[in-house]
Amino acid sequence: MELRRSFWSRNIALLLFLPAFLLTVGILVPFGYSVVMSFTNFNLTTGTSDFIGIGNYLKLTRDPEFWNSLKVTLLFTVGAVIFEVGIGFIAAYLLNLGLLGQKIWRTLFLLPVMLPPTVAAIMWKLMMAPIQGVFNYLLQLVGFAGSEWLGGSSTALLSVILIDAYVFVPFAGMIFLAGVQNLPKEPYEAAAVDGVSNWFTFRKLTIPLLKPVILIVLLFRIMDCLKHFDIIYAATKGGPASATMTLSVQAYYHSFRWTNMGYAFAHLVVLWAIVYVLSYFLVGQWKKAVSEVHGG
Amino acid sequence: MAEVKVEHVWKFYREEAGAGQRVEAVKDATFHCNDQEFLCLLGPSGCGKTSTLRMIAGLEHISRGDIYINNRRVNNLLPKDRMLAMSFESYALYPPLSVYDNIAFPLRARKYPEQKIKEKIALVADLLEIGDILHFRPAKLSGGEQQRVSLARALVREDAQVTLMDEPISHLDAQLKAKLRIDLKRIQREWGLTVIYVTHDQLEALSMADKVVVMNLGEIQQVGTPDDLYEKPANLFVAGFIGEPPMNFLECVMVKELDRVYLQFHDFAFPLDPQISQAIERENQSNGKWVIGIRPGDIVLGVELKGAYSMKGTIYSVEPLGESSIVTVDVHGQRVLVEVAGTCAEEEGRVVSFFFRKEKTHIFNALTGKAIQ
Repeated sequence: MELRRSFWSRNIALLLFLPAFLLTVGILVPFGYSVVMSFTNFNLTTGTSDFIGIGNYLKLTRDPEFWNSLKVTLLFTVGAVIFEVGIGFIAAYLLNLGLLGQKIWRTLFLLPVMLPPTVAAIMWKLMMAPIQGVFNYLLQLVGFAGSEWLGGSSTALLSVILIDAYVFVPFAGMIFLAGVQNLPKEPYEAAAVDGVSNWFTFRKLTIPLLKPVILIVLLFRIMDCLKHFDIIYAATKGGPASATMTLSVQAYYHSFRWTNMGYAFAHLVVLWAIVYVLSYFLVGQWKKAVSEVHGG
Repeated sequence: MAEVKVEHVWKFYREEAGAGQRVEAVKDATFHCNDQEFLCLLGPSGCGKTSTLRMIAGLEHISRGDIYINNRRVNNLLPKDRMLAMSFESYALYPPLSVYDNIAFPLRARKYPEQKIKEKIALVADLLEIGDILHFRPAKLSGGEQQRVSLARALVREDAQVTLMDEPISHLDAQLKAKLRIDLKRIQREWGLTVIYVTHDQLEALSMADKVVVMNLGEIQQVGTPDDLYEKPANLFVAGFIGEPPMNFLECVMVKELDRVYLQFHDFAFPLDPQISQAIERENQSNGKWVIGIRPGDIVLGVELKGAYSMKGTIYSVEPLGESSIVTVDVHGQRVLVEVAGTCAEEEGRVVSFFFRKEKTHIFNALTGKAIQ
């Protein structure tokens, strides 16, 4: 008995630690493997796996395709985040007004997040089809010329941004709605009695109070958009002519089409670094904003 | 600056669950607050005083009745159009802004020059002793400090016609409270403010107000000066609520003997003056039950007073309070509090006589609670 108890008391801590340990290992090992592999010419077709130092990274700096992907990734992120935060904020405001049929509106509003992103992409791809798609049909009905949408090199990026916004506006909107509903009532009463204009109150009170929530939405959406793969691949496969070729899609081509794993890993490590730096900055801002609102 | 008239105002709240059920928070309240008057709404928690104040502020809808500010009906005016300033019991500070910016908020919204804002804030900060916390955010402050900031924000509003205060000093420590009672009263006089002040603390009401509106269970019990309330309480509630320690109540029956009317408490009989007995006889619908009220400070222990009512009882406890003592005397199971100057040498268990003057007694109808004047 004595022996068994001491065995448990000695090892229970280790046992409880195990899931966290496995999780950490499960994340860190593949990550470390990717970083190491990005310094090799690992290629699935040729079977080589030699250490080539920063060769892959030097190659990146001279690769116009890489620079194009970086530009596309950043443009996509900026565009999608502006749409999602802007429309999400307005939607949250409208849903908070307590209009007739509020519950129905909220449910409808949430529908797009329930769709798998790939399905949403295919759905929109059909609607955006230049000849048989419903968008061009409607545009032409009111006298506009149709657009090439996903097929045009100048309109494709905006089109995938629209699809992404469709899927993720509800996500941003719901978080904003929670934030708006958690706003304290009393300061607004004080402002109302003091005769402070709604616009002044919105700028000086509501925005600072919602800053932590806004930053959380930015953090999630920026991280997600930078890494985005499924919607873009399902809608355009990166085309036409690399117009929507983000870093993730580019890396996918290098790895699974050209089997050039080492070079693909280099792409992903660069992407990881960008995500890391931006997240680090946003989390810092978020902590600051929280302490401004709640003290501490 | 302004006068406020509250005319037959009601406030109903619909209960969430019970359909059709309503809670009457304020019932038929009528009172006037004159220009430059300090009016207190006084009552226990839940009596409707805050609801009344919020209706004046425009933060609650007026269910029935009218409110006038400067003879203008304001029922349908937005809070911002009523030109009021208000300090909140829950502080209602702006969390992301520093104390300075909180106080400056209404002024900046009116585009005051920064220099003027600075001067005004320095003035109130000095008064309310918050000069050293101006750069902090509200979350860093104690409840008392936040309360003073809320008060400061109301006091910088020189354009306000009426200043509303909801328990503005309730969370402060006793010393600061005493100081602010004096300061607030002085500011109100000097600046000529019209103040409507909500409190549950009778001391605040009696020491600061020109006029007190006593409320209980949504109904106004009495409107009067602090002296009126103390000397001539209109009913049992006011009599029991105003005064510390509270008034003693003896429930008596009316007895008529040889054309003389007495109120009898066990074996003690109190002969009444003719005009009071007439009033009682006119209104004798309460099965002859009446209540005699006498303040602890109006009772004399041990020393006989000529022509005064006298009673006898056993000393139950002696509470020394420094300058005075509270002696509790047990008379047939009824506790009677007596306030005695200085320390009291009486011992528990001793039988003592005590006396009080006829003119210091208050007589109430036991059924309706109304005072016989």
